[in-house]
Amino acid sequence: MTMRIAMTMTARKTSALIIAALALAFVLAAAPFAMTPRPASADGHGDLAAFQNANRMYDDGEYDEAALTYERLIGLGADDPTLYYNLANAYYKTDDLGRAILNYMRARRLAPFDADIAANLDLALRKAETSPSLRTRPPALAQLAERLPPGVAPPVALACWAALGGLASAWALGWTWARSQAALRTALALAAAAALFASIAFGEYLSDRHWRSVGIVTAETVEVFSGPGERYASRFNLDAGDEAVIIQTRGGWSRISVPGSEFEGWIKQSGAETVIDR
Amino acid sequence: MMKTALFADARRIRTKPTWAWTALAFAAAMLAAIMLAPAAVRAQTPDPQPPVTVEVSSTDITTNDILTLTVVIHDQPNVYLPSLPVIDGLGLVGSSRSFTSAYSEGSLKRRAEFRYTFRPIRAGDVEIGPISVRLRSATHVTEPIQITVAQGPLPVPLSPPSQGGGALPRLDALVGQNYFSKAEVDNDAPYIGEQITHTFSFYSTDATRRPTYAAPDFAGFWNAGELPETDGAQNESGRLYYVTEIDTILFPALAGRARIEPGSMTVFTGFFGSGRAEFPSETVSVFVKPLPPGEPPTFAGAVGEYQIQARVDRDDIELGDPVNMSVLVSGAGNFQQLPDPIWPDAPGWRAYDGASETRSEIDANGVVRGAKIYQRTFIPEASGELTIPPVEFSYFDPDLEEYVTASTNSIHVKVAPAEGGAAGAGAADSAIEPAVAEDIRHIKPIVSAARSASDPLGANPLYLWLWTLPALAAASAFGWRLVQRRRDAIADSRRPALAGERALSRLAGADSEDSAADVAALALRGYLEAALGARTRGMTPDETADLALARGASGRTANKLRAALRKLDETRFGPADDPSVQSMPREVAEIVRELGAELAP
Repeated sequence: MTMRIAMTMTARKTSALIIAALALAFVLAAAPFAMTPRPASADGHGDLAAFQNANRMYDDGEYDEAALTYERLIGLGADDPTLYYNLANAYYKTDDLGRAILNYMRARRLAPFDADIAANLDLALRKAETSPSLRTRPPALAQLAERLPPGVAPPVALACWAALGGLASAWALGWTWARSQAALRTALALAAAAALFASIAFGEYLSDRHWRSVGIVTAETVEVFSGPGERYASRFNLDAGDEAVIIQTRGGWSRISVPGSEFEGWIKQSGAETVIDR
Repeated sequence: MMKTALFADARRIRTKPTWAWTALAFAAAMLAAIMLAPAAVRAQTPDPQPPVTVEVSSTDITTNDILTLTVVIHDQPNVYLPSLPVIDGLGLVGSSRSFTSAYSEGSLKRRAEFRYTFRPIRAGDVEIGPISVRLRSATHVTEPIQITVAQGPLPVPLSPPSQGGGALPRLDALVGQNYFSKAEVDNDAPYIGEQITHTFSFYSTDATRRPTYAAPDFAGFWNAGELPETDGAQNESGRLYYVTEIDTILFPALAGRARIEPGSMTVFTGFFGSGRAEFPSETVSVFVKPLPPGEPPTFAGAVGEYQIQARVDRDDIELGDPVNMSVLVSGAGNFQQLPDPIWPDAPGWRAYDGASETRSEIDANGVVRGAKIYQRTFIPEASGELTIPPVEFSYFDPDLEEYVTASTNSIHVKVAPAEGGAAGAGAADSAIEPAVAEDIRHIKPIVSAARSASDPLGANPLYLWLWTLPALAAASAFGWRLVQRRRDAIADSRRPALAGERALSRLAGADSEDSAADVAALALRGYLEAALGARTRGMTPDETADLALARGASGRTANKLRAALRKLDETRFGPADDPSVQSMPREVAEIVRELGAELAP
């Protein structure tokens, strides 16, 4: 009897170890995808100096020069909400409201709880007099995902799913513990966790897709034509900071629709930039 | 000596005033220079650039000319559209804008240029009233401009469209070719601003080649867009043509004879489109009629068919509260160039122009229909029953060939005295013009790296593939388990047959052995255990026979088995040379064969 109990305990531990190993293996496998490939970063030595230099320029009122330096750092691959926020501030100070709003939105996407970003974005939107009804909103699931720490849900969902797969495999192979009530409860918990985190991961994907299609008008005014060229009739104008959903891009022209309305048309591609580069 | 002294005195007398005058003149010159220098410097330095400049192409034009008004806004970070007044006597036929930025003298110079093209509606003096341009901190208002419009020569009437022959190729002449194009308009004598449709048709005997359309530039027309391409088949003189039609909606911008240059279709021929052939249409002539005289005072150039409606968001307010009025102009016409209604004076109110929104589309009949909504805000200047007067909108209806004036109803608003005293109009102003006085929050000194902006993991194909692996592993485990079960089942089903073969081989030739009964007993017991799937060694012959019966053996075989088992028990201790014992292996072999046949799955 004692020997049997000991054997059962050993089998349980083995099953648990195998499942844990499977989950760990999957997390390790998924981790490289979750890491950001950064060709350069603002926390490098030279870049940090450039960042501080740009901040000094800003404090000295040299907003154009500060914006150029922030842009250069972003162009090098630095991807940081503070950089976008400071850049947006510099554009705001030069009255380039379109680019200010664009970069506040980029910053907000990376740091959704930052009160400074939210306050300045709100101020810039009010200054640009853009109508709230003409702004896009990502799907509800994407909005939920944007409020959670990014990049965590996908590997966790995959790990839960892998553990569930391991448990199912152990059950199929006839391992004793895998057929117990405890294993069933574990499987249900893993399935629920996998579904939850997979939903959040899908929300992140939806958010990314949404912001890749949302363009902010960076030109002071863009004319919207009925076709991809200036020979077409001019329909209406969009001003700096207005949002436009980019439907299609062709030969230097973008087909857009105005959120919250049925207006559609073509603008010059250079007239608007998407929140996430397409 | 005396003479010399006298001369010397005289020289001294003459010299003294000369020196004094020279000094005085020098001082005066210095003073003048000091006083005039700033003026001279000002004269040499260009005047500071005003933020808004306006110029016209000419102040003396004829009714056949086009007037260009250019509004230039200099060095403004945010450019708002200039607000043009209603110009009595000029119809707006076009507008364009351009924005340029350039670094000059160490600073960024920005220039926004708005060009408006007008067509005179009548001869006489025309005043372009003050143009207001919203700037960052204030509204700039320009000086009025006076224009003299003289009557120009009337256009030569167009001869009726030629019926066959002439310079233009007719369809009859083109039939017989594999590919050809033609173009036409639905109305070759429209009024200025009246919608016409230009139809380009491409005839092809080969439906597999997709041609590429190059539209004419439609100079002198507003291009409102193309309708979706239509394809069809047409039989011409016994030859089947596939016809592609492209309709373009146009609004003539200038009166007089106009030419629409040929459009063309390009067909890629040869293998893999190595060759190409272009098939241009003919030139289309249009005679654009000027609008007739007799336009009403509220006519500003609209051509088409329109209705106007107005409503307010509330009609019972307190003094100081704003009333928002929406004016909707809807109908058919060129909405992109639709002039604004002439807003009437509203006594007792202060009126503010708000945003306007234009929406137009081409309906199923190819007519441009749309709506333009104007927002106006009215602030009452006194309490009581106030009236917002009707808004009139005049247009020329080309179907009726007359001017029509549409009008809204008067709107009555009850204005109660403000609670706690009369609210100042300033309060209302602040309500409708939200001031953005506060400043942005300061920059952050430290890079936070709070979140990576990399592509989401969920969109990575490799990540999605990883999701299949656990499922595949579980499926493989289940599959392996099934295979094992199937293999066991096959082994179980074959076990009696194998045991039968083994027993029969053991029984073969056992007749001659001394221990024939033992061999037979062992072979039978071994077989029964495999065939019946039970340990039969401890069972009585009756129990064993019953079990065989239960497993599917026939009653006859079960009885034979019972008898054989009893006999084997009896012969265990009997003489070995007993003939009945010698026959036991054969009897057992027979039972094994029968059971093998009867118990087979």
